Amino acid sequence: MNAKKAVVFEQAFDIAIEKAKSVAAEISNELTLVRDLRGRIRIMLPGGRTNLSSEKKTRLEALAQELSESLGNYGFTADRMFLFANDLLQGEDITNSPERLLLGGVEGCKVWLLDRQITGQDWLRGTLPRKTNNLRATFFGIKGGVGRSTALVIWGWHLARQGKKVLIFDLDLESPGVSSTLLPADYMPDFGIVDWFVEDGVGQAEVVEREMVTASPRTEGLVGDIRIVPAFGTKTGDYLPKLARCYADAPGNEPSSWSIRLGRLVSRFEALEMPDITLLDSRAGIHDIAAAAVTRMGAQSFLFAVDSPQTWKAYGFLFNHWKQHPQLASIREHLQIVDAMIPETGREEHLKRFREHSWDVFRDHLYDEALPNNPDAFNFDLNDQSAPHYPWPIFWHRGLQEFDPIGSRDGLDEKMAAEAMGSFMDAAETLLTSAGKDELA
Amino acid sequence: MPTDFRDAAERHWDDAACLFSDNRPANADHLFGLSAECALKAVMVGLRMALLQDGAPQERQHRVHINELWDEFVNFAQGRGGSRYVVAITGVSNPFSDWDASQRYAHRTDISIGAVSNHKNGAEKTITILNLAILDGVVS
Repeated sequence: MNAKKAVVFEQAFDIAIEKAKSVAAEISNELTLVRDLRGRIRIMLPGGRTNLSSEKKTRLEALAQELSESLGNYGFTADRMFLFANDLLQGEDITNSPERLLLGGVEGCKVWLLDRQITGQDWLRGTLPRKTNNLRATFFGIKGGVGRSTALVIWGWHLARQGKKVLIFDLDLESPGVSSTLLPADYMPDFGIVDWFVEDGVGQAEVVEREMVTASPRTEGLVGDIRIVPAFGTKTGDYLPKLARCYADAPGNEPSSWSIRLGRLVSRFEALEMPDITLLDSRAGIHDIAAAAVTRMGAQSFLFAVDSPQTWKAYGFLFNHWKQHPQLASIREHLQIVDAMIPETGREEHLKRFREHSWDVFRDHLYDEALPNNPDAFNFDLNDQSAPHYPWPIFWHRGLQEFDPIGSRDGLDEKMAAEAMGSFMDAAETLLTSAGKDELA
Repeated sequence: MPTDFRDAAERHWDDAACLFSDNRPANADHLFGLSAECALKAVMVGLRMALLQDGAPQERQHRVHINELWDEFVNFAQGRGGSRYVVAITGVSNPFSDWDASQRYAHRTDISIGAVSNHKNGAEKTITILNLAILDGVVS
């Protein structure tokens, strides 16, 4: 094939959409674009090919030929370009699958996408049902090294000081941090989250559950409590072979995806510990852990950012993908950007720039268009302090860079915490207040 | 005749379902077993199982019926990047362990309705796996 004419991934999708929409109404009242693991696209129609009128058959054959030629390596041969529900046993399960995304409608024909992917499906799935009702907050950063885990620990400590019971999960499994920040080696429990996933995979999570949660010695003397479910424990042994098995879907009569398993893990410990709030330290980047922690746990998500083009570009990728989310309205209401490393000098100028860049990326992807006749539109002005794009600040502080509450004799430095995170913690206070109001209602 | 595991899985399933609903479970049972075997073999071909010229599997351990193939499929698919197809059946003990191709010579009353129901459920799982592999573009 001539390289100049080769169709690439995103072009193929646009071509398929355009062609499908141009004929949609003629051929069916619904069609599904099925994009396979390699990105190849074909069209699935309800019913079977045998009961098609000869006119429709001819139309489909012509379209199949056209699609096959125009999609290049992302298409199929013309005879395989269409897939009918009746071609597959239980094909109606697929055409009714909740995994399909509605792309839009054309003259009464609904156009759907069924995107078969190896990973990343959870970014577009909805909140998992849960039996516990405590508040949850996820700490996420599109890039690592921005002080996300440190901020989580400080806020957790602050809440415990106010008398709250805080339950922390170290979900940064590829680079566990919170566990060792809060727990000296001799306080670690026997097992951690990786052990739970491995044992759950063979149906016996209960054998490690009792030895997975412990209190941080740094909360001694506080009114409240911090309980930690670490990524690993003293008896975890070789970490990598366990980590490599964590992300599997659980086998069995009703296989459950990784995020469903994570939801089960979190709810299980919430039911046992009955915290006021659960803090989830999510892995950084566009990873399945983050997908589950940010979009599926029903948590308020703090999106940590520094003001760099790479950061905004990466958030742009994620937000753009969320445009298709069937529960976008709920997802975007639970986001809050955090300006994670505000420099010691030129703060005003820095905050102004950060706010503008944050606003750009939210407005481009997640905010509705502001129209005078739609007062309920999800839209915020640049300087609206209640907006998810309006940064909650964390100020750079030497104490944060050297943060080691278990190594330090005096534990957590309150003055440093207040200087660096006072504004963040004041803003976060409103979450607890509004959650309390919800409970009363 | 060329081998076509996918079509064979589907026609055996259709006929098995037909016989089952017509209260002829003994022959339905035989076909549920063949359908499940063909469905898993279709997925294995999609995962690049080596074949002989006539389309039969090259390796002896893959030239077996469903009572043995069920566990072989798990081993094979896991080693070939097919874990996503294994999830539905790992941890589930082989529902066809009491199925045998030679039961076609048996008396109909020796084939219990309970066993047939188990085999029908097992065959359904293999069809689900086959469908996923078709949508994934792994099985053509």
